[in-house]
Amino acid sequence: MSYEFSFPYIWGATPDLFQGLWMTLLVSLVSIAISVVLGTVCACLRLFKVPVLSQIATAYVHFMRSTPLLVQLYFIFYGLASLGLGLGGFWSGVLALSLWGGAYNTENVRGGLAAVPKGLQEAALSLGLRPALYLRLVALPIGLRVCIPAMLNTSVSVLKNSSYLQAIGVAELTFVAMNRVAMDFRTLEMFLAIGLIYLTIVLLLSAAVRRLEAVLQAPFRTA
Amino acid sequence: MERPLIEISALNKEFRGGIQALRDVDLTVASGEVVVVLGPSGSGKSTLIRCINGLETTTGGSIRVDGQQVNGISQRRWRKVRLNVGMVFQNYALFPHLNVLGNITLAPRRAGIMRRAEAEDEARRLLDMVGLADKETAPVASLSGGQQQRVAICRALAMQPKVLLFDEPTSALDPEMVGEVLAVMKRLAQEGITMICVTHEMGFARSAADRVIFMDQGEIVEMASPDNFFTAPKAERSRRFLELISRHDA
Repeated sequence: MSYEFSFPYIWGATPDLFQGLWMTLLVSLVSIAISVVLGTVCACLRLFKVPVLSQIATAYVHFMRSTPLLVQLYFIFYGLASLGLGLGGFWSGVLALSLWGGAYNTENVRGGLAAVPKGLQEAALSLGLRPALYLRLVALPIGLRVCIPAMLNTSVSVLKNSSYLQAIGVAELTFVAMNRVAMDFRTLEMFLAIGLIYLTIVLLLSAAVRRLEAVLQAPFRTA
Repeated sequence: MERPLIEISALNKEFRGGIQALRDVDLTVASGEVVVVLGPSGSGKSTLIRCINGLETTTGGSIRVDGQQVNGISQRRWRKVRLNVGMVFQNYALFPHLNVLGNITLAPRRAGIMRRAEAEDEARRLLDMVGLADKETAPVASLSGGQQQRVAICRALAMQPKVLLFDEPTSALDPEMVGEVLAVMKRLAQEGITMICVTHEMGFARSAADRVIFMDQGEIVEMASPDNFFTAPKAERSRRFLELISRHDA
């Protein structure tokens, strides 16, 4: 028996797919934003070797990078719920993806800050700038630009890993596809369709970041 | 008599690992004075001036800047001292993400001593003085080494420091650009700005210095007027150093 591929079936599923896409984008963009901020803060704590907090940041990065995302997701969704701290699917998903991406972004930003020439800190200090101002006006603007490609990489991973959220019932793109497949067994159509959708949004995200990089190439007039 | 701007006595600096970079250094610099520090590499010249603005910690002795005891003070208090002590680095250390005007106005604005318009007017005046009036919007990466170093001098001057430290300001430059930077430094010397310059430029030392200091192995070996130092050095080590240099020049 041969499988007959049906384009009309995909066409018929578009309203569902768009709803899933919307949820995927929402969860991913919120998580990417939080992970960038979290990574930047943790990298700064480590750069300035802030007592206690920098050790916590180090342990956090090791923990997140050494355990599977799915385990982290289940821990947050089921584990915390059993302690009475249930966050619901959406926020559990956002928390897991943000913490996961934040760990990688910590390393990305740390790499970017390490690329800032040491002499600039001495120059800033000798001009009477406070360390916090040096960080904000010199080190971060330079370091974050350096690590944009690495952060894009991590952001793409966050976006793709949002498909794990189907496991805790968040109605994102993969969940929608699984649902349709369970009803109609149109496996090839649905997984091809969501594969192409993921590919498209990753390409769009990459293009947007390349644009951003080009814009940031020009030096600012003042800080 | 006016209080000296910088008073260093019995200063010692030992790096971790036991290297003695400074041994019992005594130095007093009066306001308006131009002091040139000479010596072979590794003699402690750079370490000495880096102690004056707190980029190095000290292990003994005392430093007073403008009457204030500074060795061992907290980073927070160093910040106040550094507002009066400018520094020009060997590798310029300009902020690469800012343009020329941004580099010069960053610190005066953010340290809260000038408003933006005021800082920009001052920056333009300084750029005009060093011959870079047309470069205010240029990215620093587009400038030559000599131009970058002149911008770095403007950046330090914009804070209106009481003393300017130069740490081998021409050593990283191509030979044809050394002159333009030294010309600016000579002009500042004539204008009465207090300067301590670590340099290998003997011509500058001869023509601009009020006093020459020769250091070797962490000690001040000789301190003299440039005339006396270059024509009749007293110490054996100074003589050998000058001999080596003149042989190299010939």
